[in-house]
Amino acid sequence: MMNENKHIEEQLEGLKRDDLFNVPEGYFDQMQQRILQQIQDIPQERKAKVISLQNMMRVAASILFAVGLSWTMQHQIEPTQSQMATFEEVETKEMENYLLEYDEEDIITAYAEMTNEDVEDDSSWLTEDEKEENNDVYFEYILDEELSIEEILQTDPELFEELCIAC
Amino acid sequence: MTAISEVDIQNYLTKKQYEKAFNKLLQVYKERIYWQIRKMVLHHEDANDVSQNVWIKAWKGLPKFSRRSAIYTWLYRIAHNESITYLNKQRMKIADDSEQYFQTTYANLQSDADFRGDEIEAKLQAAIASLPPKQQAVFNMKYFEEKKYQEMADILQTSVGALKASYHHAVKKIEQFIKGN
Repeated sequence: MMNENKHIEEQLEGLKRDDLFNVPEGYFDQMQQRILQQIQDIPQERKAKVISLQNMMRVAASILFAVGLSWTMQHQIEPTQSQMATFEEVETKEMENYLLEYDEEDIITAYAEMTNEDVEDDSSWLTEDEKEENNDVYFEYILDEELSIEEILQTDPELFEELCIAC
Repeated sequence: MTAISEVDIQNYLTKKQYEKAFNKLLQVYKERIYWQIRKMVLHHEDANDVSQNVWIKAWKGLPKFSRRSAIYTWLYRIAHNESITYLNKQRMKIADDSEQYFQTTYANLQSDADFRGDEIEAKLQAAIASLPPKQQAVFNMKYFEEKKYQEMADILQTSVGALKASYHHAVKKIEQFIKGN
């Protein structure tokens, strides 16, 4: 079968030409200008930002902290040191369940109302490099992409990255 | 594409200077992309329309270009997809089956002032055009552009084995078209 194909290919080889078609004179000279004019009013698609699951969980942790802080202040409860959970103690699953049940707008609002102080207060779990990262980036990401919390939490990072590239 | 152009484009993209990157892309690739499309759609007016769509899509999508592949591969893929979309629509309008499409294309080529080939070359082009669009693309890449299977696999995002099989079928069908006509 391969030999048979080889024979046909050899016959086709004799027909190979690069100059079978004409283009109107000056076509390529004017093409650049013409296309540039066409795209002038065409908006570009926004770049899909890729965020790792680790960063998503940081957002979730920060939001949970802010909401918890807000609730505690409203109810004027002074928890003792032993009653306060650290971020290390909060199970990922608990965070997920909490966020899935909570109204998304409230979470975003709560995060928006967080001050830098709130974030810095509990940043001991971050490395020095991570501390330098601007938390606004995460918030901006959620708003920009209009993602639901379910989407953020349930997405496999690799699949998420693939989807970002594909879309 | 020269290494300098590639670096220029990558630099513009890094700095999010999309207009400059697009200008450079257009300058470097406009002819190659046009000819890639022209070999698929055959007629200048059609190639012109498809090219415009390709560049508009490239412009829109440039900020999302992931740089996982070479920029030409990305551009080539857009052109490939646009050509196939166009051909699928076109075939439904022109003919019910590949034999009818062959005859129509052959007749059109012979009366096309922009076609410089002789009778047998017109038959070959009509036979290639009568292949299923994806086989046509594979055949063009291998036969005219002499691309390696791996490069084709990167562009078409498929396996080398599938491409070899596709090329084999394409060659057989072309032979049948030419011998039968």
